[in-house]
Amino acid sequence: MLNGFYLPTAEPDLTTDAWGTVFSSYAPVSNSRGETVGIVGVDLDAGQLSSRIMTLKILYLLVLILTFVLALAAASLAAFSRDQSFRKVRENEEYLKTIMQSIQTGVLIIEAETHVITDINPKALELIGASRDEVIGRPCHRFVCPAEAGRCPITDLNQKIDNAERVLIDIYGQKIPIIENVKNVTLQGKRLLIESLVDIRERKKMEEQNAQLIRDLEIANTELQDFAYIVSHDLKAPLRAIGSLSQWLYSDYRDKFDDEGKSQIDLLVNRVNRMQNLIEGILEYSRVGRVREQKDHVSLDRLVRETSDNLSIPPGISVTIDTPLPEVFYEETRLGQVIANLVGNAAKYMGKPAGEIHIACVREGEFWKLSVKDNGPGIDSRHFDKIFHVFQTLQPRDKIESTGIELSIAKKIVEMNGGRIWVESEPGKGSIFYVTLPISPQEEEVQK
Amino acid sequence: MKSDKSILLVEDDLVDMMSVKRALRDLNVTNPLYHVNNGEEALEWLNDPANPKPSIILLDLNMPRMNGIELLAILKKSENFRRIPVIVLTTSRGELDKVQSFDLGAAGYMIKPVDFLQFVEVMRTSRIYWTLSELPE
Repeated sequence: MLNGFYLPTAEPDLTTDAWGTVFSSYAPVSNSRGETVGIVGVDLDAGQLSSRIMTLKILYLLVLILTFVLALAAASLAAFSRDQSFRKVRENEEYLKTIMQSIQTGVLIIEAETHVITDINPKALELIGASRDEVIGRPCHRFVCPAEAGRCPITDLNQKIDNAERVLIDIYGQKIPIIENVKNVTLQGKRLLIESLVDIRERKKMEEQNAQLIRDLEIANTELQDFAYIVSHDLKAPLRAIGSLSQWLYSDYRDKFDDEGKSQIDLLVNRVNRMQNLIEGILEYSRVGRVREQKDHVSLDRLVRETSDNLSIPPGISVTIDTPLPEVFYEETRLGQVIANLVGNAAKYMGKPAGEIHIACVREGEFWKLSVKDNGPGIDSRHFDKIFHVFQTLQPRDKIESTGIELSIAKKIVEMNGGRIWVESEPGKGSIFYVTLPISPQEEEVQK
Repeated sequence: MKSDKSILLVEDDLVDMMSVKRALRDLNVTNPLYHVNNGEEALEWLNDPANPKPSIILLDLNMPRMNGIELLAILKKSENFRRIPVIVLTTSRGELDKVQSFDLGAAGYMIKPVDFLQFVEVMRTSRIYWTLSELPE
């Protein structure tokens, strides 16, 4: 409407001339009385118009594309993140499944409320001897557990099953010894029992074998003790008779024996004595393990002096204590035996009328190291082990009367008390025998 | 111990019995020596009124039928025989045998040496002791 003029709407006319497309519209202008007073026309260059529309259209398109792209991006982002969490769930599932499948412990998941088995792993199935379908959904009591319904050790009796030795019942009703662990957990509002089972049939078998072995050993040991007793009584008696009778033969029929006969009788009596010593040696050796003495605080100095005095060492051989000797916590008689055997052997095998025996003791960590040194003939290193074996001697018995049991007894005593015994020697340079005596905590206290 | 007092030897081994006899002979011990083979025979002999009551009993431990420890237990419970000194004469060095013997009131515990001359020494020592020691009538 223009200043009181009524402008009727006119259909715009689109014409195209050589100048281009013109969008034009004309309308007559009338006054209030209805008289036409003029014409109003609008010419619009179509080129101009269409470029504006294009701009608009492009803008619109751009917006559309942008929206689409954004929507697409959002959607794919959502899909992506959904995918990610799916994958994560799947991965988690796979992770758990792989663990359940490959773990070499039987795992059972049981609903605490109903005692129904809800999950089981292959190892548990293998133990029970059933397929998954046969187990899932069935109650655990009287099926895999010997307990009656209502007497579940966990839910009813409130027992804690931590590494407990129990039995599992397999599909054939056989009882399998297992080590069981049960944990009570609440998962997604449900109370679950997580049971893990370890088959201990092999271990049980081994334990039984071990128990049998121990029984056998006990029997063998008793037999050995009996044997030692039999040796002492039943072998010694006839031996004594042989000895006595040969001596009586000689004394009663002295005039009928010549020198040859006399020396044969001497040999006979000598061998009887040797056999007697061997028997006593066996008895003594076996007694070391059987008869244990109460340990006590023993002055090593006093014990060494007393023992050496009792040994009747030849006057040409001196026994010297080179270092102060400590107090030890030991079986006194046994320790005396060790010292007597070491010092006695040093004297016996000196190989010359005059010799020196030196005794010393030093502390080495948790042990006292006692040494008995002599300047005798020495021992070849290839015999270092042999000399500690029962009845092994390096000299013919006719030369030095000895059973060779002394070092074996010393070794047995020392080792039974947690120590070691060994020798260092060189032929022609004498020998040093070493014995370690453990320093006990009590002793440590005494020392302080 | 007066020379008319008798000695009872309870011993199952013939040569051991001969050893005791010879040793006493070598030591010029003239007391009568009676010999039985085991604990049962010893009880029979002791309970027989025809036999003299011995001044000393030499007792082996390891014997058939009734061993030395069993006999010692019976003797020490008996009003008649509990004061007779019993010297155990055995091969056994077992601690248990020694403990049981002295618990049951043995007067001594001698180990039979293999060597006869040593055995004579054992008998000599025993004899000196029991010659000096007073015994109840």
